[in-house]
Amino acid sequence: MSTSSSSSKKIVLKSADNETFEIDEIVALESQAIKNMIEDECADNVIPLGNIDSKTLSKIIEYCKKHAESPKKDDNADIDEKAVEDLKSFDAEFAKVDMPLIQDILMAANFLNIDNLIGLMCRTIADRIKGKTPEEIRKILNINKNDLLSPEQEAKAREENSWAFD
Amino acid sequence: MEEQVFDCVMPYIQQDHLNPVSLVSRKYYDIDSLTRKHLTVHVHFAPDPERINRRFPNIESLTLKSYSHGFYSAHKCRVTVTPWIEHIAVEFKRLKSLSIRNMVVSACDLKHLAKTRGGSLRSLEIRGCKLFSEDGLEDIARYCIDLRSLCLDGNVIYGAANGKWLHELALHNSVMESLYFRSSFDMEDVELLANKCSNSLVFLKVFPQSLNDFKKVFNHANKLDHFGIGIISEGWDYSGFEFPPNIRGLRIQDLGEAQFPFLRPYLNQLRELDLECVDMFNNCQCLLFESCPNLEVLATDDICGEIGCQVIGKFCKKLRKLSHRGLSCPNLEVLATDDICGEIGCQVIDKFCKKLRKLSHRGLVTHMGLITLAQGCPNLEYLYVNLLDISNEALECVGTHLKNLRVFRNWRKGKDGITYSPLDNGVRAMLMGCSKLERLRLCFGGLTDVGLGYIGRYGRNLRHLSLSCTGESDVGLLELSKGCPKLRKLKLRDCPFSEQAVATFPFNIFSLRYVWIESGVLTRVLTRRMVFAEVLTKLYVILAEKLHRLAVQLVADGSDAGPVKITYASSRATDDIDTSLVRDMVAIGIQNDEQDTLGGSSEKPLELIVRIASVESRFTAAVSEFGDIKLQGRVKDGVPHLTKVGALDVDVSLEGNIILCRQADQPNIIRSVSSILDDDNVIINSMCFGRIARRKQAVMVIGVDEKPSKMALKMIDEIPAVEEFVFLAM
Repeated sequence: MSTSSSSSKKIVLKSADNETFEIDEIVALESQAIKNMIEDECADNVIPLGNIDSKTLSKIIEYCKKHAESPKKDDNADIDEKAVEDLKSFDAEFAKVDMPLIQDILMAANFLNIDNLIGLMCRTIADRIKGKTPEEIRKILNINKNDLLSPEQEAKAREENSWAFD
Repeated sequence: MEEQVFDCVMPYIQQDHLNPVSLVSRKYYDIDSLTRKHLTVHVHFAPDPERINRRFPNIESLTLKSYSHGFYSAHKCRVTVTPWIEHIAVEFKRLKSLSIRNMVVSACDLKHLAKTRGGSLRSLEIRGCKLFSEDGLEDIARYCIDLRSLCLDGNVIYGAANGKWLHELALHNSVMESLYFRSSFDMEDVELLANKCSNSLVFLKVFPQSLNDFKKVFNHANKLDHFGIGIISEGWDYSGFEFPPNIRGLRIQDLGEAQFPFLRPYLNQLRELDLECVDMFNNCQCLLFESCPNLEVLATDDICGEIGCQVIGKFCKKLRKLSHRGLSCPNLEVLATDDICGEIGCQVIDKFCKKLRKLSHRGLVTHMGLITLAQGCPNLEYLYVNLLDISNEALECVGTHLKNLRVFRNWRKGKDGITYSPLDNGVRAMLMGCSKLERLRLCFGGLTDVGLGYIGRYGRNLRHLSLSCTGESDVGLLELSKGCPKLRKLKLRDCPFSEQAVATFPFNIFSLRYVWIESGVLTRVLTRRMVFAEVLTKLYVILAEKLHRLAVQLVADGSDAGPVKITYASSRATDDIDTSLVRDMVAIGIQNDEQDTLGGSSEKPLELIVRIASVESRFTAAVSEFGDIKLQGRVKDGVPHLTKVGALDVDVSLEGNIILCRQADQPNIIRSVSSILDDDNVIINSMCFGRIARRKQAVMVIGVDEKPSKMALKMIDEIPAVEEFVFLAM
């Protein structure tokens, strides 16, 4: 798939707000969903992504570019550690965005089926709510007030949590 | 979207952090309920298996725990596992792993478990339990053919240990990965098992036997990486003996200096080493530790005091867990090594070991030893040491170097808690440095109330805390209870706190499950429920007294009152209240000639009912349809309340005195009465109305703090609409 001729091939993605992004096919192939479309030859020149806005999409493309450039683990058993470290620090920087965008990226990555990115976003969210109180988590994740447990339910669950469940 | 996000994130959240997540919202609660796989249940606090199954129907691994009474104390177990097994037999459909700790386990329990869940159970652990016989284990061996892990540890087994179960296991199982037991056995059974499970067995720890006898086992089990317990007999010829090639963890007894060389080829690959050696030359151990650069876990009876610590510190850089079962020792010799160590320092280990050969013997660790250890092993997560003494410097050093320390437990030879000069600052420095510390046992005393405050403030991640001879007064405990937000267990040994302080302050910590109190030979466990139940019981007794007093006052002058009857109605068991205790206390509390009885269903009381039969009342509305004076009450929000007068529902707190008033249901009555009370400077604390029908008769119940003047009472009585009126003093 990743021959030199296919790497120069371009794919155009269109966001929900009708912005278009032209990217190398190899970058697009980071998404398992797009890869399937291309393989099944059901991808036209422009792939519309009606549920991803341009801000989210540009972040995702940034991620895919970096990861497409980096040597894959299965390409070479002993990729140099510097490349791994480099990718790690890229990921760490990449995840330094606010929670709504993280959630948007996660949902989009989920839709596009980009495993590494899903993992990265999930770990980021898990890290941010780790060791926090329910109230703090609600703020972090911006939980709708109407979805809360009733005070009685919460008291019961809290009692169960603290006494019985580890 | 929220739901989808959480579905994705869920697997990334560690078990420890799920509880707060479950409270975030209804959806999160639901997802957590459905996806939770592992659960540890403290059977004392969650006596209801069904409730747990209802909340977490898809549990795959369940740990049932009762109080630990300490190692070798399984015979003290009292809580039986039977109700849980009965439930597991029909519910918990996805259960694959079960761990039972500190409970009573019968052969029937195991048989039931084996026959119902045998096909799906993959892991079984029975630890610190009281078993009536080994018979049930035979059923486990026979029916649980997919069992990958079996651990039997620290149990007391009554009846003859015949090892038949192991034979059954060897016959039926061919997938075992990890086997741990400590009862006598027939080596042929282990050989057979090792042969049948040669592709799976990686962990084998059994009752100590001569290492030589395991030769065949090792030939079969070539994937084995952890092994114990082999005894090395004196003068053993180890030529030709080989451990399986992947061996990483060893537990050995009686390693002598002469046999040391046979271990040498394996030392480099060892990650875990557990030595139970009664007679071993110290330099031999020093040599051993020097040759184990990859050791991560070390357990030993003896680390040669100072010197051992130094060697470990210098050579075992990867050590994460050190557990040191210090035995009795002549202090003098250890003190002597302390002196030498102080003078020469830790550079020339060989020299020390030579010296040590003469000084010999297993050691306590001094504060200097602790400093050396801390400096040398920065990866330590677990530290169990037997301390000879302690200093602020040593604690500060632990805080400075051991950033990953999660468990720090220390003992003193003999009695805990000989107090030194205040260690408050040392403990503060340690807690500030070791911010991951979860379990802390401080044996040495030496903490003032200020120090306890530091534990509260800086012990942010502490879950278990055990203190001996610590603190000066209740203030210290109060200060501690203001912090330690994650504390679950608090153990207090010979600490100078009052009963009341121990029963109240620590429970300000929301997560606290129990306080374990030892003073002298007495041991007590206080749980939140018990404390709560005690308070509640007292309140019900007060309620009974108050209702009784009110009822007696309602008897008309000159009427011949029948006996006062106290019963309770129980709509549902809401609180943990000790019925028999209430009964006893009511009997003691209400001293008069009349008969007091507290009857009712076996359920827990919710409402107390006081009746006086066949009597005329000063207040006819207080007479029930059956012709007796009837008052009913309950405890709400910690305050006794009157909930029924005769047939009428009311709701008035019984904090002060009571005015009962029956009147025609018409406007302005309330205003008239309350303005009279106002003018009299009487404060109304609660007020309530009940009426039979609109514009008919109504009853007004008023709680007042003071007793109104005679004048005011007369004025109320003279309000035209008022038909009946009594004042009841408390």
